[in-house]
Amino acid sequence: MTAAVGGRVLDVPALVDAATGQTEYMRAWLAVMTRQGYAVAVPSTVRARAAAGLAAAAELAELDWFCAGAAVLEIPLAAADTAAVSELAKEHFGGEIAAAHAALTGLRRAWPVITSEDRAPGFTAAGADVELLP
Amino acid sequence: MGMATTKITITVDDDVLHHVRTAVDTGQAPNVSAYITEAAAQRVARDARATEIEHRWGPFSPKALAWARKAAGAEPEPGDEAYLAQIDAERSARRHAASA
Repeated sequence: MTAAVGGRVLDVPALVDAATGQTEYMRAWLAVMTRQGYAVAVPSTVRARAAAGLAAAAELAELDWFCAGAAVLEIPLAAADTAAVSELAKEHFGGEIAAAHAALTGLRRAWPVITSEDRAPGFTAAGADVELLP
Repeated sequence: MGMATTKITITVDDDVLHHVRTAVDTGQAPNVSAYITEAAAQRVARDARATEIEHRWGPFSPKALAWARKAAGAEPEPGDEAYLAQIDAERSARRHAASA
């Protein structure tokens, strides 16, 4: 029968890699996710933080193009979630809201978060599943 | 003006057809053809976007695609395991270098 609808949540390093093309992994991954019909959740705070770290206009344009696909769901930080995100940020991410927002999104949907090895312990401690960037 | 249509004969799993008919019976689609057409159109749109990504940023290496399939939870292809082992080895080497 058909598989359940699945998805993944992106953390900042994954989105930055997609925008810069520093490696080809995240771009190849988006192609696979799109073809499979899986959802890509990009928390709005993750997108904002990724954009803030991009220097070139061309990279920002690639970030916009990445997020424009139908497979990509931008997840706003709802007012009702700000307390939970702040708590997660304080407890597991040294106060970083974007990582906490990604963790909460992953926990709510039971979707793994794609992140870098150095940021993974925070997500694991928060109870989120993690998929490490290569 | 409506789109041109062609009548075809297809074979569908009984289980899937049951769900489609239930959707039609409960008013979620006007008829079986409309339901199947909508599902196929969504697949066509996904494939088109994936091809667009591949044209813009590809072609991707077999190693990147192996990791992409794993990270997406998609079915692995023959040879993926070796590429994934290579990626793990590279990660371990970086870890060692960083701690040295």
